[in-house]
Amino acid sequence: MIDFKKYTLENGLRVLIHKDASTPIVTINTVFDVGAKDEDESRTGFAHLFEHLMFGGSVNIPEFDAPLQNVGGQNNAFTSNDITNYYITLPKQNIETGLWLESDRMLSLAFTPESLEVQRSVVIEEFKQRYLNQPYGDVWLILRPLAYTTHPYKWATIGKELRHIEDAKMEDVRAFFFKHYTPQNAIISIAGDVDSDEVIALIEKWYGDIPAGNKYNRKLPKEPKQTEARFLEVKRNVPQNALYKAWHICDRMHPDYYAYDLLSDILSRGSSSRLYQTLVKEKDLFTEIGAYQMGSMDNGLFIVSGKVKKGIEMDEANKAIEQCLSELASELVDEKELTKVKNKVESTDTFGHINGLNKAMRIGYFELLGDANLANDEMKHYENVSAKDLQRITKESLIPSNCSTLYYISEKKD
Amino acid sequence: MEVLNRNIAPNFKEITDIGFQLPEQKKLSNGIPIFAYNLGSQELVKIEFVFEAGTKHQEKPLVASFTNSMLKEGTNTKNSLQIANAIDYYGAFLETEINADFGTISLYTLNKHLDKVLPILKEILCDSIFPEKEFKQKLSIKKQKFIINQEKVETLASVEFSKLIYEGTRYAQHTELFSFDTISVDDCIQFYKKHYNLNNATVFVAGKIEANLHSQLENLFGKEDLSPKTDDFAIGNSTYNPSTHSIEKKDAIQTSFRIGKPTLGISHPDYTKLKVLNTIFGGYFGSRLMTNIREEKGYTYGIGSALISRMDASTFIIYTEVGSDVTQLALDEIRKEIKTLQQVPVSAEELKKVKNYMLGSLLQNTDGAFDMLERFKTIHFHNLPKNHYEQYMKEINDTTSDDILKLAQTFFHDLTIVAAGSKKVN
Repeated sequence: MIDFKKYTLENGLRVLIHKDASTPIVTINTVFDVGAKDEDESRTGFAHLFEHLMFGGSVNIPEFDAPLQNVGGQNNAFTSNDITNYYITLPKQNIETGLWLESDRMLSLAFTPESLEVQRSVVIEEFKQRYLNQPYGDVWLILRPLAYTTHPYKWATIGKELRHIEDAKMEDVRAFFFKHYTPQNAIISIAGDVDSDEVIALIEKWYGDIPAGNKYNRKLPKEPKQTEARFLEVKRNVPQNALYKAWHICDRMHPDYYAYDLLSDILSRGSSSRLYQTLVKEKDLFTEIGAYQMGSMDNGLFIVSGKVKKGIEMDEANKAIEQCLSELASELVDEKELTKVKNKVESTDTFGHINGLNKAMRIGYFELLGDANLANDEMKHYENVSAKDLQRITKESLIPSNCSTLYYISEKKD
Repeated sequence: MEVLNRNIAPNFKEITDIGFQLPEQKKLSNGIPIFAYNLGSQELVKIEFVFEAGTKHQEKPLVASFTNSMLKEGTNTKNSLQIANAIDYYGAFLETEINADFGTISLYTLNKHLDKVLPILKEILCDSIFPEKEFKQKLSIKKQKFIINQEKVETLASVEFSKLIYEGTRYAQHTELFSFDTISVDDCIQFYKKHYNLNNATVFVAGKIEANLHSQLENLFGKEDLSPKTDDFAIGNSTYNPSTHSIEKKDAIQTSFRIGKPTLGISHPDYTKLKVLNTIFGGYFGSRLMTNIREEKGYTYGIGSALISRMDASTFIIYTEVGSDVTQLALDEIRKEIKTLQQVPVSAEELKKVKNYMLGSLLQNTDGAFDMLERFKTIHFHNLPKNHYEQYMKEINDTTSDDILKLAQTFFHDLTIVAAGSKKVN
């Protein structure tokens, strides 16, 4: 249970405060309701590039990091297809320094050309390091557009191609900022040993005069229902074949979300899980295998992916995965196995309550989804999932006509 | 209402106390030491058994890591699936971990399930049988992973760097593809008997500890007869010689650098000063390396430097992946930053910022039972004084700009440079 107080400023900025007296560290988490899905298809990678620019100085403060380091603080950020999330952790007595810095970059950035040039190169190196210069690194650049034909989830957060980042212009940067980085589109969550009245007073002080801006109303194209199996084979200079399968599933707020999550646990969480036991240990077809749902806010994907053992035909490996799924469609998971994955969720949730940053991020994210209280209801939803639910969603969604399959074939050049 | 001046930073307070506590120390009746942090509000606990069973203890590559990861694969009464089920069913996590010095097995569980899962840990530690089938399978899986990792420039660079930096010592051991054909189940059994022996165990506990935890440990582990410990380990003499190596990886679009040297250990009187120097140079996001090579030049997504304190050797290392086209330029800039530290005293402002940052990270890294446990392990295994962290804070505060200049002049010599990628360096 994460207790919190909620407060909304006149400019629309929402504030959540969670008191935890056991820690000397305060977390200031800021989530903006913007992700790669809000990008123009001809200018992808922008939300993430922008995240980098948020560290390049704001309108009144030339450097973001140095003043924070000077008071013993640390910070970082990440961008996903749905959100952009910034966080600061610092000694509780210096919380105001964090709010001062964070509020100034919500007010406005410095927009210096140097910052754009440098962060452009940094992001290009990130693109290379994580997606191009790694074995299997480009898989999401291939799998997303195979699974999504229409919804902007069809491109990865890093962007569709390097060129889009190379072409980013300062005017785009400015427009993006004033469209998305407004108090109305942001939620601040604070966790630590703080007095909520004092924090609210500080937040009024530093954020109160930031103009509300215009509300961004998202109108994303809906992904049409997939009706036929999709298949793609690529050849790459990697040592081992890999297999990726993606099925369309519900959105984050759908009641079935929890069933899909537990289903992926049945398939691959821990070494007692089905895919590992059957396909790795028993049948010796894969050297590693995993299943998970992407957790996207809009209609997401359920993924099964694995590295296929040398000498095993791809079709055989693929059939074996489908066989595991058809067992789930034809036979109910027994109570013991269902309890097992629910117990794991419960303990993960409990361990997740140790860390202040984790808690702050969690309530902020759920507030963005609609209500921070949902963060505390999750266990109940997991608890309510039945074996019949798992069978139903398997039959409904994890079927060939709803699936994109990617064969990632080893073609060693050396 | 007064007008807000956003150009001026708010007042702040320096960190004077980190609230670090020592754990409660107990022994089981057969002498196994237990260190416990009873802190936190969540009903959970972590129990960690640490053994002197690191890679440096193995007679040939892979034995230590295979023994460690095979611990969960079978005992006299349970096969690997039964072990996995028994742990997973109660939502617990059993994690094995290996490094150069230690082999570790940790159990994370909700308190309400502790009595069900702790006996499994006991069985694993006292009764593992290393089944042949599981071993063969793991061998082939790990071999595949090894082959994939060999495709990464960062793997190529860091393996070569370790070989060179630890030359002459047992830390220089490394895995080659053929190593996978040379180890057997018997190697693991021998290693297990010798190194995962309870006479070689130190136990660390953290979380919200229930009153009966100690008696549960006592009943399971405290009654075992401990054989006397044999200590025939020697790390070997370093024959380190600085050198420069380029490892060719055709078509790589980035070059991976590992640059560094052996250095003084954590108990050396100058260690903290060296740590301050390292932080200024490459130890945090605002460091010289990061500021110049990422934030000004845009040559890389990340660059940093660190001091790695192993039990029997310490290393200074610079690490980065840079665009292939700027390989030599990046190296030149690293050298330039070294030269600057040797010639120009660090400003009072920068030094203050680094000190505050270091004290802040220490505070962040002693936040709660799990973090404090990690910090305490350093004190325990390196045999540091109990007031080590107070001392460390004082030494950070006492470090002067002159100390840094002198240290930079004596320290940054004899560096080994390893570059893996499509470009050579000089």
